[in-house]
Amino acid sequence: MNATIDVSLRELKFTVGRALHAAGVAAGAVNPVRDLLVDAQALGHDALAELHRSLPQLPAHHGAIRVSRLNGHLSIDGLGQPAFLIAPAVLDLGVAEAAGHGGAVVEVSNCTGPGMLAALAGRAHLHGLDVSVLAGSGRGVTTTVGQQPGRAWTNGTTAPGALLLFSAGDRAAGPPTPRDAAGGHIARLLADGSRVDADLWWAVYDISNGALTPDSILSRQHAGSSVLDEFGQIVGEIGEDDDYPQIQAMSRTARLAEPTNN
Amino acid sequence: MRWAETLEDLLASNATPGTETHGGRSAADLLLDPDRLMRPERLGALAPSRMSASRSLVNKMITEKWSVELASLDIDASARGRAIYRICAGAWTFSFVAYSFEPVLEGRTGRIIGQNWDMAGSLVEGEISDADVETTAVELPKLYAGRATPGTLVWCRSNRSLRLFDHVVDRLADGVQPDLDELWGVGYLMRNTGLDGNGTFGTRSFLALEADHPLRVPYHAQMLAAYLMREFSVDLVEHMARLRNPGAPRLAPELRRCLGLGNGSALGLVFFTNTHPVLIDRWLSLRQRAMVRAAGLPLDDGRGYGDHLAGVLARALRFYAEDPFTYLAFEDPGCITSDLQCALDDLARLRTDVPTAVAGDLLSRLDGVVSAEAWEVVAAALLELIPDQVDELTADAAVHEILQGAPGATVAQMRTLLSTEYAWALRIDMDAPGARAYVWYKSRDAEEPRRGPADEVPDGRNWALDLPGDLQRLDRALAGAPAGETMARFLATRPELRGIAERAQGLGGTLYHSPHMNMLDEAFRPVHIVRFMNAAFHGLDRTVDSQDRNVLGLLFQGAPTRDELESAQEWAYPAKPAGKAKGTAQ
Repeated sequence: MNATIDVSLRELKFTVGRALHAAGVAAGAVNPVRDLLVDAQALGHDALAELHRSLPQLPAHHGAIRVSRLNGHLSIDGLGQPAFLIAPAVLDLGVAEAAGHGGAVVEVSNCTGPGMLAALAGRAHLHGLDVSVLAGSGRGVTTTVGQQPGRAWTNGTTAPGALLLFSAGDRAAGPPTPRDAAGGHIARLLADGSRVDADLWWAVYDISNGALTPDSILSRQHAGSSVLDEFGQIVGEIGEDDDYPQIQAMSRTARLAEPTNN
Repeated sequence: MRWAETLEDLLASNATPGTETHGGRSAADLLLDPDRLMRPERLGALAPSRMSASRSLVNKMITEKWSVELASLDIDASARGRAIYRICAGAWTFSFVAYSFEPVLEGRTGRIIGQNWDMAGSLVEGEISDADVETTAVELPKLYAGRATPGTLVWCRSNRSLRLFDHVVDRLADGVQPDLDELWGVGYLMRNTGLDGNGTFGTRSFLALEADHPLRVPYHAQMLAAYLMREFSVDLVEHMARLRNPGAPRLAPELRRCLGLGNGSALGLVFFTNTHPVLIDRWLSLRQRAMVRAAGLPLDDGRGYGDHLAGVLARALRFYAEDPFTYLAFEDPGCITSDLQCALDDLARLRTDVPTAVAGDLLSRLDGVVSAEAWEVVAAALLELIPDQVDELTADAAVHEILQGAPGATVAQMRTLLSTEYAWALRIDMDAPGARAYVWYKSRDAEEPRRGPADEVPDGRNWALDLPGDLQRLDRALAGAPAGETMARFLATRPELRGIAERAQGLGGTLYHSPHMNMLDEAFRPVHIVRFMNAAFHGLDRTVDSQDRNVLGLLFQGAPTRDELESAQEWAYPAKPAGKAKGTAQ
């Protein structure tokens, strides 16, 4: 058995978000996608693995979808993108549709890893809705979503898409409150963290660091009030201790990291 | 005014905000106007108050009769070793382990990219086990690659004041108290260089803390760790003196009390305000709300509010008059002292001339007469008139920070929201020279927040919150869409705008979530936001600025030490101790 690591909600959000940035997802689209992946992980899906698998294909995608109405309900063409990337749009459309009709049926086709759509239940709950996800060949899905070749599900079955049912839930719609964190999937994540494969975690973590900027002598001058030597190494600090003789001596032989930006 | 109505709806209070305007603005109007409050310069002028995290924690410790005990201290003559503290907070117990290291001058820095600290600490729930003490000793120095043991709330680290620490050890070892002016001129023995919790390094997530957890209020866990670093700094200095001279005296209680914990902060706090708009709005709403409540209190109806306010202002005046530091971007303490004298004089006149005057009338009269910083000191002083209510509001500050969109809203409704709540952002000319001069980024080296000219960071991902730019892009795109289209349909083809749309919708109707700023602009001065977080939110005094981005300050100056918690009273605005200007033989 591989080693595991318990990661916190905060760590999950930071690492997943940065990985999406590093993979080229548009900055303004990152947070909703990140939150969906975090919800998915909290709900027991292996979202981190799905993200890791999908990262190479993300630069080719934008997250936009095609929407049409088919047999009285919404039909969404995912344009071949990972389901987690289009999930925020699916949620939006389902919520807006349900608001006018008390419920909604949304078909999603042509996406990879559609199992991730089950995680929409987390956010839909805040809108006062429950989401049921039906997939595969049952209940008429294939009759309306069969144009694309079948794609691999995360649970191992094969299906071309998903059928989502949005219906009234047991929570009134409204902004999240601390009470929402006291129960449910996020509460479990907050309390216990998420246990993930350690190798997988550090692999995504390393990728996420691609969103950070490499260090340099110049870069070190963009923060702090340090005394640097000619190699960019910090030899002292300008501040409350700047009258300390040893620091003063170092300052005379070192280059003061004067800010270039102020 | 709309903002006043919004918050007054929330007040559920019978208090009448200041009504005497003298042709100017009422106190409620001045306190609640978001276009006034949310400017970076104004936020930077907000004073520490009873709602600040450090002050509210200590007040809670006093009220709830917490106890802090030094359970063990095993540190050698080179300063290497450990100390363990036990904190009892009602039915809860916490442990704080301080790992002490031999100071290394080379490469010494308070920045997170530093590797050498004089101490590191861990605040843990319950009695820490020997095994967890050992595990933490190995894990803590790794920072982001390290993992906290279960029940850990905060990891922290600090460095000595090179100027003061050795001086105090030398004096105590010589059998005398340290020089008062030296103590007052620095204000601390150790300076905090990092407080990490809330899930970082595997620490507990604060939203998961139990309903009766003593540290549920935002930043109380970090502030307790900071308080304990302050305690440790004095215990260490006394211990080092005793190792040289077993007969060395303890630091005199009044000197011990006047020492705070130093604190250095910088650009990371600007990122914090960007990523925690719900918390910022919640906290500022509660703060300003409480001030409006206090502003409605009659000065002279027999309940003593006028005398109480005068007393607090007199203490504040003395505190600023005795300020030994020099400031660059912030108001000179001499000016604040003069302004507070003006406030005290005006308060006296007001009480004589207007028998029915309320506390807020003083704010109205001082608007435009005294500096912004002095005005905010007076506003903060109002909170001392309703301590119980303020403490109650503070306990209600925790929030869930999810930003939820409204996908059923129409494009027209979205545009209305933007034009009414973000007029300030839509007005900014983002194509003007210098409007996009800077890149905000994080270094791969310990994730240090940095800010540099765009041409010096060609490959750096810009982590700035470009609120004006993003909102303007959204507004332009919405202008080309059918007015009746739902945001769900609109965003289906424009997913890159979902983040800003959800932020604007999720914060809709709230007023104090985002500073009104273009943080990319060459004229933007980060130090105002850093000071806002440091002074108003955390409660730092003596916030000395440098390079328009760094703020040094003092936490807990004047706060009761652990030996004084049981009998402590009001402690903000401490006076410089008298009568020990030079080292005094015991």
